[in-house]
Amino acid sequence: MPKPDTNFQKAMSAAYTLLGSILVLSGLGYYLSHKYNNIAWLIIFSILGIIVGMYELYKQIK
Amino acid sequence: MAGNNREMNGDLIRHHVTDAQISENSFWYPISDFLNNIGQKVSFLPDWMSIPFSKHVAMLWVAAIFTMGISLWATRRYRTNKAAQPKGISHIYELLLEFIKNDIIIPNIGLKDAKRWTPLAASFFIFILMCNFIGLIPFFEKLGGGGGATPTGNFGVTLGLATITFFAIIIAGTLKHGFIGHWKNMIPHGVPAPVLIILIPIEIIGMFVKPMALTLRLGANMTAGHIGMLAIFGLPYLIGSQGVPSEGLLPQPSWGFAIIAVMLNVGVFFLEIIVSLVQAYVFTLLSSVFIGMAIHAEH
Repeated sequence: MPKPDTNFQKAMSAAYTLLGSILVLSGLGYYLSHKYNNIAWLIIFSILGIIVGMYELYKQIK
Repeated sequence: MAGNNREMNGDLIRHHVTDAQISENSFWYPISDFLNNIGQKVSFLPDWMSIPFSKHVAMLWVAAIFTMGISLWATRRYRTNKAAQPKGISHIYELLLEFIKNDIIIPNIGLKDAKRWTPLAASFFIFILMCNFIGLIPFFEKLGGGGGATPTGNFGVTLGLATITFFAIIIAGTLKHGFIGHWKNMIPHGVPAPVLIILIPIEIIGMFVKPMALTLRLGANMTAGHIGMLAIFGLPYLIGSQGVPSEGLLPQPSWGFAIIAVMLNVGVFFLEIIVSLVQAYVFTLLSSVFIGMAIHAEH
């Protein structure tokens, strides 16, 4: 039986987690910036999304 | 006048992808109304939390019945004889379960815990696959009203599935490391205290973001396919004659583009079958990776 390609699985899950974190938190920031009419929410949450995404990416590939 | 057709296409797409009740003049309405009344009587939830019997709820019930029915049917021989030879659908089912166990669960969760988590992963895979495939059969559009797209394109459904993953991650970590041990694993060891102030909130946000990412990815991918197909079907009307509503002249499609649209959509339909399989696989894989991360927490 062929061995499963775990590198492919790791790469796929890492990519989805990175993108997912950025999208979810940026989306939340977008909603809050519309609600409170302040672009700062979008910027803060987008940066937070990148940080969380990068951290989760590091945890998965280390 | 072109705006009219554009709006018409937009409404058509919204009508198809958003959840709706079965319409009152439909043949199936009495059944839907009966089930809705039962649901209201037995529900202990407040009104704003109630889930009326809509098309997506109906699709979920059908998918759940199919999932259980196929599982029971395919494994019937093994319940009486563990060494039974697979026959018919049991062959496919055995291949599928072997694939989930050997290719998804064991590499990510480990051999030791495989027996505990394979049933959840297999249920996720088969149920999501059934939901995705139900959306590809244009039967539910015939029940009257809109909402004939797949239930996995509804963010409420995917959020429900991701909530199961969220709790599975906590249960897996708690069973392996104990309740306090699981939460302690979230605090990285050997990191200076000032860095911890930054890392702990990031870990907490990450805990919620992972299932949310699952929710968005599955919902968005499944909705995108249906929107794409309807947009292609709307193309002949955008290019064709706009009609004059005041004189009772209906918009006419461009028949040349209609043939191209149908041919394109046949291709997209086969692509959607692959997307359905891939999305069920990815949801199961990511859930397993997250559960595995809680079990094999190294810090």
